[in-house]
Amino acid sequence: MRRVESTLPEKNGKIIVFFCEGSLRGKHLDEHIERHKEAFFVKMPCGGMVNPVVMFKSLMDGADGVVVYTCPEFDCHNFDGNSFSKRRVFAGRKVAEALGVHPWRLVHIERDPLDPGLLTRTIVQMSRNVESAEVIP
Amino acid sequence: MSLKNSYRLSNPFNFVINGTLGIFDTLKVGFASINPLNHLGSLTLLFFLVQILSGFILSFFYMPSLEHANNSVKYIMSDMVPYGLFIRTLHRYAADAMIIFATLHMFRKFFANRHTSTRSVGWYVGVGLLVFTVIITISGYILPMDARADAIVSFFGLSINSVTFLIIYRAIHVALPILVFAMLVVHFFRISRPPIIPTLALTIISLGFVAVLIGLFPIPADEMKMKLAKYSFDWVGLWTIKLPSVQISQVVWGGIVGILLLLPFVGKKIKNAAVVDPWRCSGCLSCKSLCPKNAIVEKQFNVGRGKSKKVAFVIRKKCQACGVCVAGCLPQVIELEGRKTAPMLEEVRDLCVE
Repeated sequence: MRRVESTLPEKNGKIIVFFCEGSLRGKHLDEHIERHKEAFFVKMPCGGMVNPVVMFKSLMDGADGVVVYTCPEFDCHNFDGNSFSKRRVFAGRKVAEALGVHPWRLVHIERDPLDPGLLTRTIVQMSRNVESAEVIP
Repeated sequence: MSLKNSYRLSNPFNFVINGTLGIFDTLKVGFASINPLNHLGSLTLLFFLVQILSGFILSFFYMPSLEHANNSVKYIMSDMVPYGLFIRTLHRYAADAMIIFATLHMFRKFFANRHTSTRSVGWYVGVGLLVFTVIITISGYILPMDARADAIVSFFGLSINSVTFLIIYRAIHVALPILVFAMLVVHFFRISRPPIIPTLALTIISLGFVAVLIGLFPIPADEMKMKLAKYSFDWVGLWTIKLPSVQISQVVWGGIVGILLLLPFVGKKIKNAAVVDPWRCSGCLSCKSLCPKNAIVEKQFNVGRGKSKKVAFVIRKKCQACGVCVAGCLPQVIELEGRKTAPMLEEVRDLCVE
């Protein structure tokens, strides 16, 4: 699998990555923190703990984008935490759209053992979106 | 990759909406739902149910007596009983599949650290289920009273007569599965939404795979001879009798069970729990339906002056500190010890201000 390296300068955008402790830990977490200077990683006990209030509060506090990174489908430590999280992000995107906020600022992804570069690609894509947008509503 | 494809849609026609990469995403969703490693526990239950059903059908034709057992099994395998050979082979293969999936299920739960703290009860019951499954399997190999049964009986030093044979049949092979069923209820009851049923696609694929195996490798008819120098050996269910002596097998099984029972003491422990502020709780109990571990119950809270109100209450011993209830609480009155929402948002604000 081709790995997409982040080529962005340090602290270009401010992307908050809420990740559950089951999906990202140890060496992989250190690698991601080292690779993505533009992203801040916030550890949660489960992806199901992230709700739209937390996501929108992060955006209000100055984050350019929010990524919620959870365990794969059918493999949540808490059975439904990842599906709750996914539904909340979708709900958040709809609310964001209605409020005139770019829906790409809220993204939910699941860890995929077959695709280790997914989180990297998502962060890079989001950073590019931040770069290309003149004004970020 | 466009951002649209960076997350998965539950829509099966994702590829129509999102293009080529969408096809890949849709396929991956498909793989997740048919990946047996995602459904090991439910597959174990599926094969247990297959065994119950096939055993029930076999019991119509099986004669549980020392004299007639062998002949009745031969009768089942003959053309006289429609699909008799198929059902008997299914009964045996389902037993092996159940042991394999149960063992893999235990490995997976251990390596994912899902065996400690609140999940230790499920783990202990699971160890009992595995042991009982192996005992039931071994007893099942005695019932046809063929050469293999002779080998098992001589290994354990049993003297088989009509009474002991009936005990093996009734007390072990018929009554123990009922106990296993009761233990399964305990295995599940601490979970609010146990994923006990595999997806339809995986059920069809698993049963189809077993059916193909039965078609390719049915139980040979000459295996039922009373004195047979060589017979096919079932390494999954009968590896115990390949050990040098019954004492060594006892030591081996004692060691395995002992280690499995000690494992919940190894690994990360959950010390935190969710806490409800009873004064602010509206008593909607939306958190109760969200909790994956049935840890939230309804309780009356005394507000003074002889008045009380309905509130949610977290049972600390059951809570595994996932925080799902924190996110689902509409009035935001649940906090997770060690990960409170306000400090977390402050942390996020600090990160953004940097």
